[in-house]
Amino acid sequence: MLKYGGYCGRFLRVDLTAKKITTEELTEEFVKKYVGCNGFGAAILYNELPARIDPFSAANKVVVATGPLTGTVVPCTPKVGFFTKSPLTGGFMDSYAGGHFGAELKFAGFDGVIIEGASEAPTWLYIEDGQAELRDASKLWGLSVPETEAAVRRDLNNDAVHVASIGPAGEQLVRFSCVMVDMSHAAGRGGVGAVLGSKKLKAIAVYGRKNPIPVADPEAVLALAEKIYQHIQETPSLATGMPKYGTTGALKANQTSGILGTRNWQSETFEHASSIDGDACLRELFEKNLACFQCPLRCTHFSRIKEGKYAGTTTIGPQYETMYSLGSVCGLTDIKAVAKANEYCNAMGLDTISAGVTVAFAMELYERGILSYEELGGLDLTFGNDEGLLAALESIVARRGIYKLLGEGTKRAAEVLGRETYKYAINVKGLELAGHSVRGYKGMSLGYATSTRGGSHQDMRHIPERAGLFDRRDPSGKAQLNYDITSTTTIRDTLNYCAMIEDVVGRVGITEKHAEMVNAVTGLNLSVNEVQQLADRIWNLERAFNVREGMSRKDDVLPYRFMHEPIPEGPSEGMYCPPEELEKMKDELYEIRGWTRDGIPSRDKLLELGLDQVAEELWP
Amino acid sequence: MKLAYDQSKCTGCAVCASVCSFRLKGLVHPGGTRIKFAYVSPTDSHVIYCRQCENAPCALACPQGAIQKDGKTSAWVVDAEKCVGCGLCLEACPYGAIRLDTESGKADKCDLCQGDPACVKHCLAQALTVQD
Ligand code: SF4
Ligand code: SF4
Ligand code: SF4
Repeated sequence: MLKYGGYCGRFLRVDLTAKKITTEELTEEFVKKYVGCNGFGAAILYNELPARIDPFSAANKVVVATGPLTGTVVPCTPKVGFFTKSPLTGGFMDSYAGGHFGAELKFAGFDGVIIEGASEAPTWLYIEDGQAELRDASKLWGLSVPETEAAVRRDLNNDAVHVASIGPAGEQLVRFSCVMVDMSHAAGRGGVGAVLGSKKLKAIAVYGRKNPIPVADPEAVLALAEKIYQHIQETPSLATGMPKYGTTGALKANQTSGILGTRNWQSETFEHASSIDGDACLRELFEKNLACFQCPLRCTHFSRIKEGKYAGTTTIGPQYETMYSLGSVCGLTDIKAVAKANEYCNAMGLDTISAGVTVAFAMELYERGILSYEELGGLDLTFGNDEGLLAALESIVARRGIYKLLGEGTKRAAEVLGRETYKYAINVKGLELAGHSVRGYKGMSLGYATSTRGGSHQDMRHIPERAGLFDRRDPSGKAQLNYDITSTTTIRDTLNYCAMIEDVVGRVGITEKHAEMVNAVTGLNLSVNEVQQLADRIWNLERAFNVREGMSRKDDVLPYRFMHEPIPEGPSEGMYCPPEELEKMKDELYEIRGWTRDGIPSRDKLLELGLDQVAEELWP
Repeated sequence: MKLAYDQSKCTGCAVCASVCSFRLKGLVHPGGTRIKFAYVSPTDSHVIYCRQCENAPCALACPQGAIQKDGKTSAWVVDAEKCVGCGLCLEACPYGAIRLDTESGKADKCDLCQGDPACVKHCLAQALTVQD
């Protein structure tokens, strides 16, 4: 038995090739060194994956992991992480989902699951109170996400199970397909769903009633929970803003600052923003607030379209990222169409961000005359054509014609298409960009370029710059800001609390609050310094994973558009990130991080962080 | 006083069940809470809770007279000293609101937290409220 609180102390290992399931105890040493979710995922993948494997080969693995806060009384801690070598970026990928799955997995007795090998026939995994078994999924193959969940529930005759599953997109190896948790929460990014598809693992269902999670200091944990509650209740943006708008308010905020990705980022102001913003959601869609496990914020909106051509559609969301990716970036002017596309992506298991940005890429190529109507299979992909967007999404899932190539993501598509199409491909390291401006925030310019997973807004965060705490137009000091913020987001993903309470714990720099949180739950008694070291260890390990795959400074780049075309109009007119500016910020960041000029963690840095084996491998 | 519940406001967060179980034993335990969270689908979940009935069937069914009304809160409270763990109250409750504690083997039910219901305090959606 592990002596620390917040853990079950065990992982499941599922070998799909041999159809063998074993359990593994977490050692004290491993827990001390990596603490939880992001740390566990990074350590397991680095240690167990050989370099340069094909992400779709049986040698790839998917790690599912929770953090020590998951399944405790600390509010806003529902997350579960999925880790794999990404078929989009070829690098380390972590993607997190809310819902109830993470907590339920722990109540069933496991901190995580390591999925390895590949099954020949479709299969699904059922975990219940310390037991696990593989079941036949031949009847589930081809089903949408909601159909899969319903079939699993029916099969188990239990409505209370929580399900993580893939849709037809994952089965068809669309490189940006996601894992859907409880039907509506996506571990969206980087193609984890496609990796599960390549392993023929359709779903994981969990049910746990027998394994409550002990914490180190129940009184301190309760006091911490009460403090977070109080903070929430005293902060209007959380107490009333979250239930009312969830994340949808960001659309109007970004439009006001002139940093809303529009028509494949040709512009960053959208003249139709008010018809697809948070108020439009309330007006046209809102039905009811929903929440993840243990979350009082209830940011999730259940939506129903009451009238018009999409009447009858119900969906959970859309959230801000989707309003950007299936909305403004494709030029859509009808929030109901955005909701319809959201429903479709969730049902098929497509990452809404990459899916929307990829269609926007095709739309720009069409408007520029680079791709013809015929090449596009007779679809009119004019910006703003919602029917074109829906048909394109459908064709991507069906892997039809040119859409088969588009399902490989914008990076690969641009490489195959040639004709300078890379200039319009909005991705970093192959991962399409989230809806927070590269050009409008200097901190985000550096953040996107250097994030392990590529174009993700979850490592570097835009909010301190948006709030005006740091000058978003000034590149100086952004390397330090990047270091401070990515340290907190790494700890966020390791303890595993939701980004929505980053404000409560602190967004810029590791403080006493992070230490207090981990110590109350685990009893690890880490100092602030040790928490900072933990963040550094995990971040460097992720970086080392990518270095081993051949990545370095040259891969820390931004999409061509953001380095060469200033924002053409609006409040942020003229802003962009020229290569010289980016290179200078990179120099500063590498220096702070203890990396070489080429962006490789130095031998000394790795040794200092206790990553001796990594040091040997990177510096033989 | 008693609990009131409005399912149309319930978000399915299960916070009520988590805090209730945590209050009991310092653990979040979906199998060990007085208010039970029932997940049906992402858009449809509800809670199973004690109504503090007028002529409480649980109290009437108890052969030991172990379930008594608390004068101050008017909650029906189990006297663990008297309870023999026969489970007749469980069968009698029309709402499934009593549990047998797996450790003690005794019946256990909502006592309205002696007048300050933790579940109500933590339900920011106000799906759970107190009624006189
Ligand atoms: S705390 Fe409130 S909103 Fe959450 S499950 Fe309980 S009753 Fe529903
Ligand atoms: S336990 Fe059941 S029978 Fe007893 S008072 Fe509560 S709801 Fe009524
Ligand atoms: S009032 Fe107290 S004992 Fe009763 S269900 Fe709520 S938290 Fe549990």
